[in-house]
Amino acid sequence: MCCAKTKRMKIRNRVSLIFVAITATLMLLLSIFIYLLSAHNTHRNFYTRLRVRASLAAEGYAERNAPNGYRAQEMRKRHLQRLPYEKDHFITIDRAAGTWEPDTALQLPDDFYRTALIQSYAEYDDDFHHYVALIPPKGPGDFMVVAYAVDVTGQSYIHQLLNLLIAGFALAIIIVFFLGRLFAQQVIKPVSDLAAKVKHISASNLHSRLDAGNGKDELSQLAQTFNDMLDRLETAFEIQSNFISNASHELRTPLTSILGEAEIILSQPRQQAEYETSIQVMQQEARKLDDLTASLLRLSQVAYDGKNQSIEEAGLEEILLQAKSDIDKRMPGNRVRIMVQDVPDAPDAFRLVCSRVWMELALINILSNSVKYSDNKEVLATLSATANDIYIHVSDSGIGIPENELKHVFEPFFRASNTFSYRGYGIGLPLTEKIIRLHGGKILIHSKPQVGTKVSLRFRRNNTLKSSERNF
Amino acid sequence: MKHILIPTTYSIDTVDAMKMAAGLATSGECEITLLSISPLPDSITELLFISKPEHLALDQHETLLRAWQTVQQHHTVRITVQEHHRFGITEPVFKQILERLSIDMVIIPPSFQRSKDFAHSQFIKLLQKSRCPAMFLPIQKDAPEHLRRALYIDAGNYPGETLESLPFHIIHQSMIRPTEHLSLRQIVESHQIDVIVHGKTTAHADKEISTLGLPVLAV
Repeated sequence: MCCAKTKRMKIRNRVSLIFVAITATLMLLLSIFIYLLSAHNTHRNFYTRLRVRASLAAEGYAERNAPNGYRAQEMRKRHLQRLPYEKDHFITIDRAAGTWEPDTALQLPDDFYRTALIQSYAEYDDDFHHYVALIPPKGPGDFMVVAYAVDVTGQSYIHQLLNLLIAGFALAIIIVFFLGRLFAQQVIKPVSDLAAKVKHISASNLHSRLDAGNGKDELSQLAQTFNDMLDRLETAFEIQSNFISNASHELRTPLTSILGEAEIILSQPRQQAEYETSIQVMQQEARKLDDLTASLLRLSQVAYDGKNQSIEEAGLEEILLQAKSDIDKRMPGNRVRIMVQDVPDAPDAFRLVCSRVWMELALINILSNSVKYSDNKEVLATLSATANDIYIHVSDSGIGIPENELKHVFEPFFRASNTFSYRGYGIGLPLTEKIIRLHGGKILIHSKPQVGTKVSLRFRRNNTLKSSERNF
Repeated sequence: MKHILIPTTYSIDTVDAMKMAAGLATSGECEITLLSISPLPDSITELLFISKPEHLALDQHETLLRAWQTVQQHHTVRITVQEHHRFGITEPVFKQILERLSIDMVIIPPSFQRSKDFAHSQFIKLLQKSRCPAMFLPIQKDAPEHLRRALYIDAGNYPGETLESLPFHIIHQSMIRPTEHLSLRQIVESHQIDVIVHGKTTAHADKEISTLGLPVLAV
């Protein structure tokens, strides 16, 4: 419980942290982008304004000796807003020689002047202190104006933006963290609910099922998978309990007969002939018991003791014919007809890696069932093959199996409701099914009461070896 | 076989096809879809304002369903019958019907095989081209009540997986000894064959098959 809780907490925290990390990265990148773009635009705007101011200053300086000079300066003073800490410096230059007389009040790099001399315009800023150098194109060309101003508004705007972005970032991270936790909790909740429900299902209430919801999302699929598993478990439990009750019933019946017979015969002194008859009855019942235990032993051996069986490649055609000759000995007068498909192109078409003894036993069981339950009518057994598979079909025109009982025929000791007039224990078919399954094959039964039964066996030629190796 | 499609003209022989569908059900339940196809009307007004039931022969429709109800009472298999009507049939529509309804087999009653309607013959042509198994009921005789044995008359590849789910026993023609030199009719009689099975892709002496009066399954 404790560990499960810790794990759940860990997953929840992990999801929250992933959420926070993703959001933080995205927000950080977005904030940096906004900040850089805004700073760039602020600088550009200020440079544009400073350039206009520098241009007018240069014009005014050029008109200083004109008769009605200072017109440009007048206009500049009257109509244009002065920039904060604005100052103009006029520097004498010699464009041909590429020299200038630096203003000692200005601490500017030489590159700035050189760029201005080449391109007639240059920009330089130290944080929000902006410098623009301009050589007027129409003037005498012997001076350059260096305009200086501080972008106080821009500076305050950018600082405000930075604070806003930092605060927004921090707030968003906190919100996302809590939302992430909430989300993770929502995601984990159905899983923990599922675990809690599964915990309540035990051997005593195996019929309980989980709520699979709408069946579309992954959790519904998980619940459905659990339900399927529970179906299989419940069936296995049911088969096991049926097996035990049926086995004890089948074993008890001959034992009760033997005990009853012994009790009656011993109750008083009897004639020799009576003793003999009684002992014969007991012997008959003891043989039944022997048959039954031998069948049970075979059934369990197929599952647990198969390693001792020799695995070899054998022709199913031969095994089928061998089974037929065995049936001929056991049930003389049977009308089993064997037909084999002609495959001239593939002489090995019916060869299969298998345990010859078990396979023969399985086929004998199927054939003898068909003969027995069809009251010696014709039974047809065919062997056919495709590129990948080998098929054996056995059909009869017997009593058939009732529709609703078909699903139980592979359960040990199960006998269909219409078979009570026939001798049997209900072990042959489960044993056959187990043998076929161990050989990687598939058994399918189609049946209609009073019409007949068709048993189909399919063996995959490629899979057979692998599954045989695994199981035997 | 779970879902079987029966194209119908609502003739009474459709009941035979439905009986066969019920007989082929292997899992205790069966879904039958009756498909009726009317020719596509020439005018849009007719298509828009005349409802689908008006294209059906209503009296035949009722007789058929009544006959089926009587038959159904004797079946232990749980059978659901649906009806579907279409105006005209084209290849995409045909494919869509087979895919959407997950059809395992199509059973064609004699009246539908004999129909001279273009849409009906078009349906049979499309069916012959598709991969879905098609069972043609015999025209001259009634189909046998229980299908026990089939004869597969194709020298080509044996479609084992397709035929595995069928409830009857399939005898491959090569299983019959070549020394016997029997005609198809003699083979059918000596082996108590109820159905003839052949591949859709190979051509056969159709006349000989049709004289046998047996259902023919094309796979």
